[in-house]
Amino acid sequence: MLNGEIELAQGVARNDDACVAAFFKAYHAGVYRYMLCLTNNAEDAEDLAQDSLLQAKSRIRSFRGESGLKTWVHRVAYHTFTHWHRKRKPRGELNVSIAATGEPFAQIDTAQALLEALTKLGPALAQPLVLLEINDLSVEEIARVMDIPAGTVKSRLSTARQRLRHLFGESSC
Amino acid sequence: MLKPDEFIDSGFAMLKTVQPRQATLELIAAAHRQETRTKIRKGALGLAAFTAVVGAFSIAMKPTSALAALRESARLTAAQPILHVHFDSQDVLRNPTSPPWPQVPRTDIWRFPDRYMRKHGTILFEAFKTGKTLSYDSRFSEGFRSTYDAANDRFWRFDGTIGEEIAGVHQNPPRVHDSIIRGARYIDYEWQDVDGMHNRTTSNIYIDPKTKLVRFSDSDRTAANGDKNHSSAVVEFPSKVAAEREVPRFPKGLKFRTSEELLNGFNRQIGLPDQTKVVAGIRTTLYGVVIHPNVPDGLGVDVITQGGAGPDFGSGHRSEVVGSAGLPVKRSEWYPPLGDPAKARFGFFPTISGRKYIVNQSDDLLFRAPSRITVRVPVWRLGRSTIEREGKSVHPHEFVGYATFTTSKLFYSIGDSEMNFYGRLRD
Repeated sequence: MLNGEIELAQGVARNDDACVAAFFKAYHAGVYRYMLCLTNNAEDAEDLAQDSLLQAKSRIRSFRGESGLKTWVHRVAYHTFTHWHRKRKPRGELNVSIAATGEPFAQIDTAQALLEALTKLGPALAQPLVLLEINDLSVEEIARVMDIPAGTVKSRLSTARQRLRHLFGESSC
Repeated sequence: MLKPDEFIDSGFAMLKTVQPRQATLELIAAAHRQETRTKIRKGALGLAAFTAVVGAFSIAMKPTSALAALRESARLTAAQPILHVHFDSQDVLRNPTSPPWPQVPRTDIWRFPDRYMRKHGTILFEAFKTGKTLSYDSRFSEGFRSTYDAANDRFWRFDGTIGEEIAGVHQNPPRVHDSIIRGARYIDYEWQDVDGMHNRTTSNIYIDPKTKLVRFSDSDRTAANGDKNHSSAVVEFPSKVAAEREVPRFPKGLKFRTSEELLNGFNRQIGLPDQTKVVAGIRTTLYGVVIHPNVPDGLGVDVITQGGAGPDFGSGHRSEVVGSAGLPVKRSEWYPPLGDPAKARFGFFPTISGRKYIVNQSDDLLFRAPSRITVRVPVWRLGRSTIEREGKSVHPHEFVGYATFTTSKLFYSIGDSEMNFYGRLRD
């Protein structure tokens, strides 16, 4: 737990504009990528990232410093996504806008294929994998975010990897 | 050619470089500054568009719920066909051998090229026409009885047993099967079978203000096996259709407490007992009722008690709101979380100063904050211990009855119980 994080949280709680801006900037990209991987839809990901950050900002007073601020923000994002996922209208189309990053087309195909595969995995398996690989959280942090035992996280990570291997082993490459 | 692992790692590496649009960050900052949630996506056929559509309707017409209006329209024009239904479904191809459907009264005003959608048509048709009890059969709910609550124009409840229709998997009675129309935006119902398979159906409703067409898009999902069905339909209603999302109305000046305030309040105020009831020799003490807006389209209720044994989740006995100072109470949607449904909306045990409280999360829904509320809480006791094969003793929890409390000791929470409200109490 870094003192800087506590100070940042305190600043956000005071509604200090600079702290709020820093808070948004620090976690926006990570939360957006997390949502993108789970929704496979850029617009939904933007909406959910916005909702998550505003939610986190408004509830920052309940952050007690027992975990890292990053873990706490991802926990808020996790709940935002879970709530959305329960209510959402299933979409048939895929609408991911990652082509603007300037990457070679082969890589874009890879990323899009992975996004589709993550969607196929379902949130229960995809979330720990995304939090580990994209958001660089540890197993313990993922366990806190998802409120499940660390052993379960490891098990889901293993299963998710296995299914991805199976998916890509069959179709692409 | 990449190996699967290399392919996956390469994909993750690529995804880690994806950046959100800078404009979205600015919008978030702007939303924060204005303390309004400006949706990033505008113009899309999403919630914002629907809200605008509903808003347009609401301005032009007498505000009432859509279903009530539809039912009223149906009542007024009962002598003539009022609805024309056109279905476009892929499902018929998936289930070409579905059994023939029972005849539904007055189906002449409906056209059903697809059997699958008939359940929706039947529900709507019957509800609009009679506003009373109805029953129907459908592929996914054969044998179900569906009761339309005329006093509550947004709510259906389903009871019954699932037949053997669904591939022989769901042969047992479900635990829960509820249906809600929320503000005419979508019909959403879900059920869970004894195998733990979570089934959910969502039918979205869009109203086109120009054509006065109401569009349904429907999807059935079965999470455990990934089975999916998609159907869509266009239903033409009479032009005088009003739609308004019912929102909870709070008393002016009511302040919802933050989780932190409520945590402090728990120690100081909720922690003091309010009243005690004895049921079958088991003493149950009520400490307070917390009302929170963390359920869709209403206010949820949590009842904090102490005494007796913990609940037996599988028994089906749950807390209920019996009355709330003359305000309407509705059965809420049951929200199992992803994963373990046993953790959902039943109760848990915050411990403070060595004392264990039971938080019973009622499934009932309030639409205004009451000044007084009557709740019915199940009471349990430890049964006789039994010895299991491994030598462990097990104390079953026996339901002994309900304790009914009427209290004005109400607390209003910002409703983040899912995240850390009561969770903090356990820390």
